[in-house]
Amino acid sequence: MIGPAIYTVMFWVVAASTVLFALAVVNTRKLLRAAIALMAALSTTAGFYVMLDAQFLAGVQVLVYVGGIVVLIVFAIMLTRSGELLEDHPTPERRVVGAAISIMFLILSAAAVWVSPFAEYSTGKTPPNDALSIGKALLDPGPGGYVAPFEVISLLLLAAMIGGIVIARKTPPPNQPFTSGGDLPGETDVYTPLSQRDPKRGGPVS
Amino acid sequence: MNQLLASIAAYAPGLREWLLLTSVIFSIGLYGLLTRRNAVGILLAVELMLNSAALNFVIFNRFCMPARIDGSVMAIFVIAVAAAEVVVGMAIFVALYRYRGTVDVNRMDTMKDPVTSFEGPVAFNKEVLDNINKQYKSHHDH
Amino acid sequence: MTYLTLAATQGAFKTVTVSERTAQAFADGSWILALVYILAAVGALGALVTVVGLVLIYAERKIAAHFQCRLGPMRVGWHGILQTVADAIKLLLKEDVIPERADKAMHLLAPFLSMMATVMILGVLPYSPILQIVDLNIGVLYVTAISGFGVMGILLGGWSSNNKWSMVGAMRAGAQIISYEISATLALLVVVLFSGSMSLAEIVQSQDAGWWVWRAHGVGLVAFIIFVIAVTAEINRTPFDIPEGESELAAGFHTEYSGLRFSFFFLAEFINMFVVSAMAITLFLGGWMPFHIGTGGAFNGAMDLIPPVLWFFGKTSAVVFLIMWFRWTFPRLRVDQLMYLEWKVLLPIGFVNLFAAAVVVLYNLYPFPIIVP
Repeated sequence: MIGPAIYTVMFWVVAASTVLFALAVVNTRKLLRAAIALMAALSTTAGFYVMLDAQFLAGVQVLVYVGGIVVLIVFAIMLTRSGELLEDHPTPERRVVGAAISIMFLILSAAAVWVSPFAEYSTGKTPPNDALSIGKALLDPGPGGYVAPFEVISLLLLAAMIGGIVIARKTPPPNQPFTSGGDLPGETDVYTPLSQRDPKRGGPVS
Repeated sequence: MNQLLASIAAYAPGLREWLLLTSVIFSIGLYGLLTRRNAVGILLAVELMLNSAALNFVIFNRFCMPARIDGSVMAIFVIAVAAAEVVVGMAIFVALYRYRGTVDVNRMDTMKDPVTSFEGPVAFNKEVLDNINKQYKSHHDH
Repeated sequence: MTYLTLAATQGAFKTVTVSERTAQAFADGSWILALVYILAAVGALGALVTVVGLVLIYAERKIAAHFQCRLGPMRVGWHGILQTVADAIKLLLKEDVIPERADKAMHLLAPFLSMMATVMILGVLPYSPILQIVDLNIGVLYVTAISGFGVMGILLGGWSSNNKWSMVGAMRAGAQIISYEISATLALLVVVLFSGSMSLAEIVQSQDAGWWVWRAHGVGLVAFIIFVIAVTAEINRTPFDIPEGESELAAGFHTEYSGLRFSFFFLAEFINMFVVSAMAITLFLGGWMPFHIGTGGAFNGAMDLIPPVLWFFGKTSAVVFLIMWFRWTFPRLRVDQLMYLEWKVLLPIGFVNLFAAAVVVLYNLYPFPIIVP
């Protein structure tokens, strides 16, 4: 009897905290705090995965989201160090319109969830070794296997990595050799076009 | 004691409660998407929405098809896509910030009529740009 | 016959974690026993954090001193053994300064995040067959994932201090840790491939016939070396202490911390050293398994008499000593050398090594039986 009771209490507590963290993500004016709230919301989602018998997924969630995505976001917030990036002021109209649309969506989806009949099966469980069966499914070329999407995703990740490096590299925009990018003039030799750089020093040829 | 535990367990979440939870998280993300003007803030809201979508996959897997793991696999794909999205998004924002001095999505309007968008970002202000170029030249002339 | 099998035949011990005992107690309806188990686990974790912290800080000072032909702390207690306690009391009594215009909430949160990540990992380490608080079947993944919270703690601490040294130190630490995490994970995966499990207890038991560092055809040795280098960088120890290089950055990300919260960062760093050493020995050096040569024999029997807990802590201290030794052997790397080492040296070697390990496992080019308990 104690098991289901603990499960129930945990669900409602974690659900409430997730909703609070999610609200903090969209309402905090300091973006860094929003990122921390996002980290908390994603960690509690990992807790949900554990409750849904998907421990491996919970591990992946924390590994990728907390260890990767949120760290990356915090890095980007720190790199683009500007007061404007820290503060975000939505106007009242935006707030009202946004709240109206999202509440409408919530009502619609809640109604859809409540009226549609779902074919629920409480018998049977997720295969015991989650990591093993997920790995097998990902590399299964037969019907019901996911080898093609898996390869596509790996290509996507590679493309994203290369794209990220190319886009974020410090090269000047074509028609605009110098910008007020946040660095001091003494540090701006990175904005020199590649063709005009001193190959040894990296700065402009002097 | 057992009675108390049983009465607590009567509130155990079913499929509908789980789905309602993800709907709420998704709606909050939608609200953030619509109200934030800062690109990074919008990305945070999008992450929230993607996260609730991934959770939905696992919920349906758990309640409607417990013998298979397709939902978990789809959730892993969603997480991978989210990672790729953040990498490219953040690279774009850092580059944008460097070139335009802002990541406010309302100011990403250079494709619009140039007259109306002139008052916007610092880097497009002719005076500021000339000043910087002058400083740069004086710094590198000697 | 190893200690495990010996114990099992004599019925002395069963490999059972504290969480399993607690669940059993709950199932039996004995609330008090379950509560005792939970309290014992929490108390043991707290005691472990305190003792390991105190011992490691003292060891660091003494080892550093003797490497430099000094004596180190000698005044408080016998051979300065109470020096760390005195320092801890001093830190706890100090004023807790929060810099002006710092982000207060984040400044308060950051050290706790760092400490939490460390303590959460301590809970899954297999100290001995019967001394493990919880054994997760995703143990290795869990350890890798949780260390992400530690990075967030460091980044937050640096950002919220409103100090440029802290900020630069935090950015360097973040870049360094997430870079070297890749190599460490690639090395971990080699052991996961060989043992066929991600549970730490099962990984230890899979080394019954020999430790992975030498039983895995050289692949294990390469992985072990990569792992030790990568984790040394991950815990910001010399030669990878660029994030807190005192000649450049004051003290890096914790420049603006004082008193209790500084001690949290400080303690987390030392416990992290213990954690990564414990992970290294769990994965590569047999965890709590005793040292054996061949099978049977008087030597192995003598080794079996030493309890597993002593094996665990003995091996861990050896790796900790190795990491402390690094500090007085290698000069600090520059940032570009750091990134060069990771992305152009360790990462390619790690990938090739993982591939070789996969070939070895897949085609069974492997003379020893793999024990899957």
